[in-house]
Amino acid sequence: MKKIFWLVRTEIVQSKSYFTLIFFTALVMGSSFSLIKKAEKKILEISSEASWDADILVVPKGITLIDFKKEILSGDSSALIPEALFDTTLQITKGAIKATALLPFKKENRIEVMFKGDQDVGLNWLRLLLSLTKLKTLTKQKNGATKLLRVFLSRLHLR
Amino acid sequence: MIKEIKELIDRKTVAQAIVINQQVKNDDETRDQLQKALTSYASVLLAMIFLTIGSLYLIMKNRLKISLIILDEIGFSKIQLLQFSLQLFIISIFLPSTFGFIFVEIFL
Repeated sequence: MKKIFWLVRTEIVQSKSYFTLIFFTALVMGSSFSLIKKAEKKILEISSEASWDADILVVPKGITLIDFKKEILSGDSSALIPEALFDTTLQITKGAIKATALLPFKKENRIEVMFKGDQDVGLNWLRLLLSLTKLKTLTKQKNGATKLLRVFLSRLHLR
Repeated sequence: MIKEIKELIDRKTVAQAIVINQQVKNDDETRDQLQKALTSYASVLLAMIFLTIGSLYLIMKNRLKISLIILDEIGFSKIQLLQFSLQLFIISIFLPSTFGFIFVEIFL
């Protein structure tokens, strides 16, 4: 084995320039595979794998639909609209719409998500990192409003 | 009506309204364009890489052939010759490409 390794070493030393070129080409090839894989992953992230049962979404400025979807799935609620903004929006629309919202909230130093609908009295608290199944179940329960218009996240279905 | 509400909300400085259908359509178009661009880029790049490696192999082929004949003549078994070729392949192609792959995965 040692002898073979020595022979390989001799072979490489004797054809230095060829092996250097092969080495760098292979290095570029490996990096390219990785870069292509990463780019493909990023592109897939911006696809709309989700179908929404809402016509319009209200979020803080600078947040995109993709950010919102990612954050709601990861349980990080920073993209969700604050409660005050939810109430203001309702006032702006002068009760012309049925609105449902998921709002961020801090309770005992822990971020929680508050589900708020204009038909429901009181608040239901959800734990952070809520599972998609749980979210679906919950939103189905709350689906008493007509499909006329829902502001904020009404229901999120993922394929 | 949705348009009116969107305009109304967009006038506020802190919030924006996204019409979901429109946004989804735009995102899909962007994704398709990016995918096409990436496919073209990947095809050209990989073709160039395989051509380079192929050409280098063709240049090296005769020399390697002679080396293998000499090793065969001095009594190396078939398995040892296979080990020699395999080690040469691992050192010159497999290791650097794996290194490049891992480097990009970790640092980029």
